[in-house]
This record gives sequence, C-alpha cells and structure tokens, in this order.
Amino acid sequence: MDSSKNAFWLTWILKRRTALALTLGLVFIAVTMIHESRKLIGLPNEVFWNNKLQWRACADWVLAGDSRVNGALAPSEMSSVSPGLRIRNFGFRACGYRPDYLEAVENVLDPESDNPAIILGVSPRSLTQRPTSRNEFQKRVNMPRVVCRNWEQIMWTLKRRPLEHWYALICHSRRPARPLFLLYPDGWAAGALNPERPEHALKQYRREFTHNNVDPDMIADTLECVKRWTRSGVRVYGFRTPAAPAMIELENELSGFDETAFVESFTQAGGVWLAVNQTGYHSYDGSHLRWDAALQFSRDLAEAAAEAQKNDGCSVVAVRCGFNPILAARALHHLPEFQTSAP
Amino acid sequence: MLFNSLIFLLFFGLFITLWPLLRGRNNFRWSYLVAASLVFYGWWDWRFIFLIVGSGLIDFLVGLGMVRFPRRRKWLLVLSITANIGTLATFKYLDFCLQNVNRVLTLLGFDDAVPLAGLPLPVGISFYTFQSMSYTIDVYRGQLKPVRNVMHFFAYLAMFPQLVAGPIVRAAHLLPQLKHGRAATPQERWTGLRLIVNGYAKKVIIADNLAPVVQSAFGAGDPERACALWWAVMVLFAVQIYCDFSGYSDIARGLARWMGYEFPVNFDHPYISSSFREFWTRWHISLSTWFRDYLYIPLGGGRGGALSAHRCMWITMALSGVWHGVGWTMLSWGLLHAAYLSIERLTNWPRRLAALPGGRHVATLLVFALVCVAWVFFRAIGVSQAFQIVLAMFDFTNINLAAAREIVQPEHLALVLLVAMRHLYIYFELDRGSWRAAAPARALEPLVTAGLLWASVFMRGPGQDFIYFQF
Repeated sequence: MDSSKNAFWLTWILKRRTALALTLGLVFIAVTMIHESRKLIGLPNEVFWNNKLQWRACADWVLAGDSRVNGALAPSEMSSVSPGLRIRNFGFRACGYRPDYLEAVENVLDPESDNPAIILGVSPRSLTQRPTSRNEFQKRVNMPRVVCRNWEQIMWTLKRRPLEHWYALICHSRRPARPLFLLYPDGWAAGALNPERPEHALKQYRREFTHNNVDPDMIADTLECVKRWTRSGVRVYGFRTPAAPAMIELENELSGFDETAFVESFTQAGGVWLAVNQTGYHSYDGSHLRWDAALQFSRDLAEAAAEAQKNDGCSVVAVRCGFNPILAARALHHLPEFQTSAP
Repeated sequence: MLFNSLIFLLFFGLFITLWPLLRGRNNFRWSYLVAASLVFYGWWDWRFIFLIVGSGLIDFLVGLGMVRFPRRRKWLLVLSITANIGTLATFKYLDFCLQNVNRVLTLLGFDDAVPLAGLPLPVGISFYTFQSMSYTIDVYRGQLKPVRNVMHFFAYLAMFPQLVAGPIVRAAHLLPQLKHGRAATPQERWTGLRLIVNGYAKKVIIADNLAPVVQSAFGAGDPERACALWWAVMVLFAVQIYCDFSGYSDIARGLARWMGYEFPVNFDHPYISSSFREFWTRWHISLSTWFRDYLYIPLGGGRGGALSAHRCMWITMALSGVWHGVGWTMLSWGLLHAAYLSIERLTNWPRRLAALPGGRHVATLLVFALVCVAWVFFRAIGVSQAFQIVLAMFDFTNINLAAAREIVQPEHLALVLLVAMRHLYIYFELDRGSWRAAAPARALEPLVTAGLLWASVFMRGPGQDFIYFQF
C-alpha cells in the first residue's frame, strides 16, 4: 500500500516537475523579496533619490559629496544650529566631483538666497574617476524617465547580496550584517549596520585605490568651481569626511591624496576649510558614520560653519524651508525601530 | 540582448508564449524565428543586422548557385569563404594588422602612421561566420542539399539562442530539425529548464562572483611576484571561464529544447581530462570539431605522416588562438596548446603515466595545471604581463601564501569546490550509479532546480558580459 502511494506521488511529481520547479522557484524568490522589503523604512529609495534630482534653486546651503556626506550630514540637525536656513543634503552614493555633478550642486542653490553656501565633503574616493555604473548621481541622471517608481522598489528587493554575506550565513562563522537605512526628505540617509563591521569597507577601498588614485584633473575642476562660486558671492566650505582611523590611514597611504596641498589650493581658491576631527565619530563599517554619530557631526559642522561666517562678518537670514512634514513624520515614525538596531 | 538581462527574460517569455501558435506552418515559424532573432541581435546595434543579413544572403545564394552551376562550384565556394573571412578580417583583425604595420614603419624610421579604421566589432561575428561557412562547405562537398527557402536558411543562421556565442551548430544538424514544427515534449521541457537554470547558475553565481577577484589581480599594472597568489588566481580564472562559457552554452541548449530543437553538447567537464587531446574533445567541442573538419583534415591532417600532422595541428591551433581574439596573447595561447599537443604526441606521456599506480590522477592534475598556465596568455593584458605572471607561478622561492589569502577568500574557494565536486562526480563515474534513478533523488530534482533559480537571483555576482561575446 505504502509503495503504491509512493509511486503515485513520484509519478505526480515527475509529470509536473517543470511547473513544480518554476512555481517553487518563484515562491522562494517572492518570499525573499517580501522579507527584503521590510528592510526599507522611511522614504522609499526611489522617491528619495529622485526628489534630490528634482531640487532646483531651493536651498541656502547645499551639502555635496559621496555616500559619506549623504550619511553623515543631517540638514534638520544643522538647521537647529542655524535656524531658518534651508539646507539640503545633495550627497549621492559613489559620487565623484565631476563637472556635471558640480553643476547640479550649483543648481540646487537658490540664487536669491541671502546666505548662500556650498559645503563640500571631500573624501579621496570622491576625487577619483570611478566607473559611472556605480555612481548613483550618474545612474539616476541617465535613467530613462519611463522607469516606474514602483518598479525600482521591486528591483531593490531583488538586489544581489555579496558572496561573503551568503558564506557567513551558511558557515555561521560570521553573522551576516543587516544594513538599515532611514531616508529623510531633506536628503539625509541615516545608516546603521547590525552587527557592526568596523573594517568592512577597508578591503574594497584598498582594492579600489590599487588601480584608481586621486585624479589631479578632477581636483583642478573642483577648485575651478570653488573659485567661480566664491567670486559670485557664494561661501564655499570644505571638510574631509570623517571615517574610522584605519580608513583615514589607508586613504592617506594609498589614495594619492595630499590633504595639506589640497587645503592650501582650496583656501587659495576662496574656500573656507573646516578642520574636523576626522576620526572622532563612530563609523559602523569603517567608512560611513552611524546615524547618532552623524547627528553629532552635523551639529558640530554647522557650529563650525556658523563660526566661520561670524568671523567673516556675515549674518544668517531666516527663510522658510520647504520641508514636507507628512513625509518627515512618516520617516520619524520608524526611528524607534532604527534605534533598536543600533547597538 | 544578454541572456543574463531582464530584457532577455521578457523577450524569451513573449517569444515562447507565441511560439506554439506560429509553429504549425513552416513559413510562419521560420519568419517568426528570424524576426525574433534579428530583434535579439539588433538590440546591441541595429546596424549589424545588415551585416549578418548581407553575408548570410551571399552564402544562401552560393548554396543555390552550386546546384545550378555545378562546374563553378569551386569559384562559388571561394566567393563564400572570401566574403566570410573578409568580413571577419575587416571587422576583427584590420586594426590589429594596421597597428603592427605602424610599429614596423616606426622601426624603419617612417614618421607617418597608417590611420586605424576604428570599426566596431559586431557581437558574435566569429560564431556566425563559421556557422555560415560550414553550410557552403558542406554543400560544396555534397554532404548537404542547399535550402531553397531563404527564411529556412536564416532561421538556421540567425537562430537567437546560439547566434552570438555558440555552440556552432552545423547546418546538417539543424536545418533538418527546423523543417519540423514539433512541440517540445514534457521531458524536453524539463531537460531544457534544467539546462537553462544550471547555465544561469554557472554564469551568474560562479563566473560573475569570481570575475572581480581575477580582474583585480590582472588589473594591477605590475603583477605581484607571488607564486601561490597566481596559482590561486589562475584556478579561479579556469573556473570562471568554464562556467561563463559553458553556462552560455547550457542556456542556449535549454532555450532550443523549449523550442523543440536540440543543440550538441559543447562542454563535457573539460578539467577531468588526463591528456590534452582529451581536453580538446571536452572543451568548446563545436569549435574544436569545426576546426578539425574544415581546417585540420583538409590541410592534410595525419595523412602525410607525423611531421605533416604536427604542422597541420600547429596551424590549426594558431588559427584557433586568433579566432578567440585579436592580439599576440591569444596567438601565444593557441601556440602553447599546440606545443602541449606536440609534446604529448611525441612522448605519449599521459598514457605512460596512466600505466603507473595513481598515474591517471597525476596526469589529470598535470593537464589541469598546464591548462591554467596557458590561460595566463588568454587572460593577460599583454604578452609581457603574461610572461611576468608565468615566471611568478614558477618562482617557488617566493610562495607568499599571505598574498593569496589577501585576494582569494573562503567563499571563492567554496565556488571552486562546487565545480571541482561536479567534475569529480563525473571523473569517478558516480553519475552511472543506480541511486540517481531512485525515487527520492528524482523527486528532489524540482526542489534543487527551484533552489538554483532562487540562488541565481540573490547570489548573483556583479553583472558581467559573457567572456566569449568579444570573439
């Protein structure tokens, strides 16, 4: 009886195995996608990036740079130091200071602003010619308009995980790190990693700097922009983005970035350099600041910039910020969940 | 359109949905297949459609002409070969030749350089020109009757699953199949699905995840002098290129199965070969047999004695090398394999070694190691880099395990182990065991296939083109 039952099931499976394999495969994929979609909190990823690209003449202060700036500077926190300023974080993942990006930065600045300033977060990586495929700004600018927002959200849940993630999961030697990002309408991407991997980014940076050093032409283009902006009355501040001590050491050693020379040229071009404690803030992966450290850093940087302005004899003029309270409330709603993820 | 792109999945989904409706009548089926194939090909660059149509039309007309004007068969064959080789030479080799001419001119003291043509390389040109040539040669030899319907011919030549990276399917194999609009049986659909899923898994999980490691090792301007590092990198590359290319072939075969057609096996676990002769019967089989039937044997093959056989083999391997790519590195790769084969013929070392206890395993390892050394020339940016790497591989005074550990992580080794296990499974003939036919094993197959499908989505490496596209 049992063997005939088994034979029945085997025949049933074998007859339908193509459909069965496809259905099972799609079910597995759908379950993983649902699981992944729960990691997306705050503003939807697509809305977050596309909103940034839509910004035109809407800010008094524009914060520019790569993912380090994107994750390290909270405009709302900076506004609490300098009330009334419309501050936008225009940082993009893997973004370098290419001419088109610098032009876009300038466009975000309100030409009517009484206190216009551009704050450039400088990391050696942002001064290298990296492939455009990984540059979030380039990718978004070149993306066809027909790409539907929901579609991008779906694709996010289908994104690949690095091989080491699966190896850790299978071998249990390392627990896979769970990244969490809370995306704010003002451009800040608050981040955390649980558990933290203070040396996670080092390997990738070491590999990149082996073949891809700081590009002198890119520095020259950036400084040319600084000159032009300062001449037109825009204050330009620069700072080196903080990271883990090992990362700063690695960058100094391998990237070909000469900070002293850069600062000298930057100030000669009319910019004001904000000397920050580069290793004084907590990084969750060696490169990016954890969200609570980012809040602290934002406050510190805003105070430094305000002090620089006072010394310059300028005053801050209050202009109402176009902040969307509904989206902000929605994002803030997730904060408790976010806090529990951080150790 | 890349097989590993979302647009291709949508394209194939649409194609296979409409296929049963149009399959019934020959003209509908062929026209549908040709139209879909041209869309597939034109997705890269629509201008290349004219090239494939133009060179295909010449071969179609030459085939008909050979029947109509039997006395001028030879001239018609020359026309076909000239058109095909001429196209290949113009698009693929012209700039390389001009660069070398310019070098010679510089050495002779001439200041003026011949300007380069700068023509783009049409995707898969080496594959479809060889396929097209096989048609006219077979018709010339009287081994094949020319087709009279142009759509029938183009359905063979441009059939999208094998158009850009093979397998190189012979006209005699595919044209008769195309005459029938047979629906795929449930067994064929199952085999097709398994081939497709296995092919994707090989490409996107294994090859694409290993590619960045190999790329970063070869990308360094001055290769590190570390023996262990380069052996590790070359093993990774051996696995990467096998999974990349055999993955494509598997997907192509699987897609054809779903359409009711059958393509020949192109890769048969090449790394279990215990001689180089065996290696070439397991690696890129469709190309090896093409060169054997249309070049090596017509050149004389083994008919003119041992010396002639060596000469023909060296010419064949050299041309096989440059078929793979333009440059001295590819030529060196082909010639190195020719040297391996010559030494093997002269000494018969694999057979002698295999006669010793455990000798077959040693021979297999040795063949694999030497194949890895040859891959250095295939992958290197230039000949000088290749020689530097080969020297580093054999510099046993500087093993430097730490450098290897730095670049090759346990997860990469896990992928290599997976491929090695699959090869060993065949090597020790475990596939012939009765357990495979047992009910639990068969019932688990859909689950394993579903798991691979899932893994191909979430464990995929950073997107890479198929290596063989550049050929």
